[in-house]
Amino acid sequence: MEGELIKVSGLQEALALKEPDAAFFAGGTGIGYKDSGIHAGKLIVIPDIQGIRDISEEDGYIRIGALVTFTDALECPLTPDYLKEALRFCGSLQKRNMATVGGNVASWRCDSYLIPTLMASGAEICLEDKDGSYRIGIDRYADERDRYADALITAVMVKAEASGDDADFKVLSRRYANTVESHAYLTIAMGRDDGEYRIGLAVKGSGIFHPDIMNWGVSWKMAHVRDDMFGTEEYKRYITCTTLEAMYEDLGGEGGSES
Amino acid sequence: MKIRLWVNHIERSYEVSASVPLREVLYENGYAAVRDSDDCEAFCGSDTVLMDGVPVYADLVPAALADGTWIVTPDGILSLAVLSARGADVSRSFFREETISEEQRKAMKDALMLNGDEGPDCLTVVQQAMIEAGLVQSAYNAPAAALMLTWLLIHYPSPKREEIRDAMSGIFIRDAGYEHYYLAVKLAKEKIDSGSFSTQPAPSFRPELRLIGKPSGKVDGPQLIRGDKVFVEDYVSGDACRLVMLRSPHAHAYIKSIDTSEAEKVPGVVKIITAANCPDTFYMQAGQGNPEPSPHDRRLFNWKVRHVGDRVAGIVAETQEAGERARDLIKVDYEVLKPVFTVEEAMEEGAPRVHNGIVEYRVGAPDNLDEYNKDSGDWREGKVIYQFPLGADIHHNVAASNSGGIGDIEKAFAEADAVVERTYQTSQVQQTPLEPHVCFARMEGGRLTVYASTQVPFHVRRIVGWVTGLPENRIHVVKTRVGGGYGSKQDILIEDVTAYASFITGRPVYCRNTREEEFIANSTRHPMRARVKMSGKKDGTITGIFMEVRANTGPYGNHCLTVPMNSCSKTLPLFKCANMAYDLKVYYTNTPPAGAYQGYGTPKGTYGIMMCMAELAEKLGCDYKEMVLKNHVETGYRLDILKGLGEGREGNVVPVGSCGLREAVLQGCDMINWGVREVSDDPDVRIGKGFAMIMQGSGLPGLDHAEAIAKMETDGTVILNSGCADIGTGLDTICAKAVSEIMCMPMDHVTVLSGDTDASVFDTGSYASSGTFFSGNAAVTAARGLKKEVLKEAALQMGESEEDLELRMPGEVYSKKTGCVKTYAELSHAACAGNGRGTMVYHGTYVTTASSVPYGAHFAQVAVNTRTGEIRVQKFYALQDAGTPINPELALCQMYGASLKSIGHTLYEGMILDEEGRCLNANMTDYGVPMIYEQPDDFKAVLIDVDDPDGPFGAKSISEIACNGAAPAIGIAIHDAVGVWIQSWPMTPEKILRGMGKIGTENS
Repeated sequence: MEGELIKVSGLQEALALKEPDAAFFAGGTGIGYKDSGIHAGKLIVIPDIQGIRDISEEDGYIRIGALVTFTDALECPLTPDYLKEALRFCGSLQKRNMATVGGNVASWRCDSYLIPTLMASGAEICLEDKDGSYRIGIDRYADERDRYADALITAVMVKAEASGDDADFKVLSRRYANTVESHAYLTIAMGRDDGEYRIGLAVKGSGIFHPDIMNWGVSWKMAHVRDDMFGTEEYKRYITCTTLEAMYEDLGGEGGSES
Repeated sequence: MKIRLWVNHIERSYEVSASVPLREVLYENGYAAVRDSDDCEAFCGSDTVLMDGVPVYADLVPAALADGTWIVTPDGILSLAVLSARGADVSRSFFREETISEEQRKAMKDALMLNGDEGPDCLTVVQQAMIEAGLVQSAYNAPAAALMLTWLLIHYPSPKREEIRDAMSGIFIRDAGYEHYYLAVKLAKEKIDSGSFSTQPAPSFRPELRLIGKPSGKVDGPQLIRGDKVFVEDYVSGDACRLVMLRSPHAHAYIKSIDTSEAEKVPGVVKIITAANCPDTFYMQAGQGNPEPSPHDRRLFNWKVRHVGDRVAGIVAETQEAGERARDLIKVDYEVLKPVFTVEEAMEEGAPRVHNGIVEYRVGAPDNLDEYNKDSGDWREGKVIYQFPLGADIHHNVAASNSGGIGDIEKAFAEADAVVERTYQTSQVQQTPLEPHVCFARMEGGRLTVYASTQVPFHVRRIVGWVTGLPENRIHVVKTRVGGGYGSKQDILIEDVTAYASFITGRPVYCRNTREEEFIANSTRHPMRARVKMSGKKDGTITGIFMEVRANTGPYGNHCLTVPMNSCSKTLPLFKCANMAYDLKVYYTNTPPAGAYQGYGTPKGTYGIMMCMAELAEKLGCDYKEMVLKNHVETGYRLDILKGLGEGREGNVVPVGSCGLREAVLQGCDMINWGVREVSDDPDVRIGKGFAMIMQGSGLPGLDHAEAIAKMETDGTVILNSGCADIGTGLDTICAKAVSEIMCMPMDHVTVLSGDTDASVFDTGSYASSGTFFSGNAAVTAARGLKKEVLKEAALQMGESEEDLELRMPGEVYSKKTGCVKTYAELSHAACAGNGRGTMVYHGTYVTTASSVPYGAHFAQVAVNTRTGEIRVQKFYALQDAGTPINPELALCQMYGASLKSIGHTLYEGMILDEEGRCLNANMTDYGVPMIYEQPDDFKAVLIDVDDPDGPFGAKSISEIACNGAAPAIGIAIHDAVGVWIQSWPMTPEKILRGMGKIGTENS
């Protein structure tokens, strides 16, 4: 673990310390991890910050504080089942006890457990920086991450589970990895909300994608997917398409997606 | 900064660097069971602790974050249990909350229940349950697993199967598998609820014997499960220097120059060893019998590097940091050469030569050797010295070769009703012991002491002697407990250089491989290409089998002949077939090194031969099961094929001895409902079944050698000084049981001292499945000899005839004639008195030409998703004839562990190299070892009861054979499910989809 460690107890204190060479330290499974690729001169240790480790319901959304661990989120009845499915992608209990929801989003790894599901569900991200606080869609966050480089994610807002057979909000997620504990080479999620479909896609070594389903075929063809130790490009493209097709069918889609 | 925390309920404060991992703080302050297997990879779980009642990886917790927390370490469970038993409230160590409910308190007290009265031998119920279940084997992670099961029972007092699985989800177990963890929880619950362990953890065998064949614990179980300081790292003195290695970035290059001048100026650097100043001694690192069937083709450091990760310089430094700083300052000028990575590249005419030095032979040099050597390269190539001819031709990268056979194979093929010829490819897989390779060496009074985690202490001594020039009387090898070996610790991979570093500096030196080094610079399973051609008649008779094996030994020739030989010698003898032939060649390449791995060459040969047979059965229109039953060998069948399949010499032609193969096949077919098609509820999923016959050996008859000295102490107890090397499999327990059984005395009156070259007599070591058979038989021989000595002494002391005397429990001599009794204590005391005849002692030696072969059959049922190619092993049944299983509970766990390893290399594992020869997945996460989630849904290990005439109490080997069955069983099952024959491992979803035509076609 590199960098000077600075423990903070308040949000503003944390934000004041944030410089380009500093990183926020939450659960430790990202920064503490060997070969994390994160190099920081200062590690701003945030677990003692109050008010961002709770789960609550707000206007049809579930607010999940950034410091909520995967285990806490799994144990909370407010957490939607579709998100629990993604949280369980993290196989190790010890890791689930340490990893935080905010940390998983902030690390923006292309083998992320949660990001594709959050994208497919239309989640929103709450951030705070020295200039103020923001609540933006995760798609926008994906596109403007540089702008929020010094911001701290304070919460993730996910849509509450709809109930009943005729509920129109539904999210499905799949993870493809060599073993449960291996890094995922593909994490795929699709959501349907009020007749609209969303896709979230994390491709190891390629990136995170949130293609518009109407232009899915075009944008997917443009995505840089490569042969690597996890499989050939052809395999990964095939699995992605066949999985999305199956999800589309399971979500009640008709006529097949444009693949 | 100063942190204050409560460790195992005791307040502690430490001065620490804020970002240093909590694990390091705990380990350095005496909590030895908080170990590290993955260099902060958050994978293996050796670093698991409870932090405010929550299981976390201590390697990922900066020390500063532990300030003010309550920590429980794996080696603290017992002390907390003792506190709890005394009435102390230890809840803060297990719960985040300040106050807990009565139900929670009861669950905590139950989970911390002591198994008996407080005392030095006391364990908790959970710890004892793990021993009872046979889970405490190499045990590097056993204390962490015990911590997790304790936590589980506190928070889930009646856990469901999925809750047990979840508790174990972050703990990697390589030796014993996970199945008996469910059993351990059940046993613990029984003890908590009803006061006793009522479920039998394993079946019992040989009712006429007291200990043999009964699940009865493990002599080193308590110290291992408690987390005592028993591994090499625990012996390292505070003044020890670190040995840091500079490794080659190139797969194939000459070292033109190496400049260590700047590095030597780094404060703390003691010595830098390179090709320029190391001994000019050629040797090899394989721990095999002397003379070895592996070429001496390396020095400690060479002028030519032959793989990415090859040694370039060894830096001895006061601290790890100084060593690493110096390493980065060494300037090396390389002349990069074109590498070869595959057998196909290596065999091409004009291919770069991996070794191109002078070839020498100790015996049997060919007549044209001088002429041959005229074509060798420059001096930097070094030498290749063969102890005897191995069919080598290094100018064509052939490290060894052999061929032979029986009958007329071509005639058999010509006259057959069907012939199938297929080529099977296996990947390079790593043993991944939880404890990496570690060594600590120090000079003491002019002698060199080497603390080694090794399977072969006496071979370590020999090779260290070669490297240092010291005679064997000045080298003392101490085999500590071994935290996993699986063949990789049969080789002397760091002991050579660590011992040399201590010898030349006079300083204590410690070396510990990183996990990455374990992948790139140790031994692995040889990648292999096996072409199998098999013919048969319409009635299912197999008429001819040919195996062509082309193996990749990597840069050095460790086990280069013997591993590929195993591919044939442990597969062809499964068949009653008059026409069989083999042709094998082993190639040097520039991949990471290969060597011994549990199963040796057999898993690869079995994969090819059984898959080919299944395909032949289909082609002939025969039922595979019937074909197996028609063609397998039975007791008495003469195995002429073995004549050419020795370890580089003529093999022993013997008849098949005890053989439980047919019973294993028939019982397994019943268990899995062979012939019944299973249908999935999921329309995308197809289910298939497969099985494979398997065999192995029990040591190397004519080559292996084991000795033990049984000595009666003056109080009538016995110490057995055994040369054996218990690597966690329970060999010390086998020896203790043998002595106890023969001497009619309690097992706790027998102590086995083993693996110490000063304290014991010679033994070739634990490899080739020799432990139980050879070292066990040496213990039997020693005990029987001691029995005679005791009877002789008793006859003299009691004034009776030896024929009238017998031994009986609990350690006494009884006269059938007079009814007189003398205890061993009385006898021994008198024997050692001023007028006595001296200590009763017997030196037992065991060598043999007998071959006790274990057999078995492994069965798999798989579910294949036809849409995604994903494979789930629904059922895996391992049925094995191990003769008399002396420790049946340990035997079962070894079957589970080895089977799961085998499932791993079949479906997930494989080192992947880039075009430069760099390993892309040299870490646990990407490499893909199976953990509890990958375990088959229905996993059974079954011991077939066979009594072997030559094994100790009828025992044969158990563990290694269990690596052989998964690949063909799963491969055949995949074909049964979706009609695709997968001809390479790992059998990935992508290969399934290609086989099914879902991808790789124009329409895909």
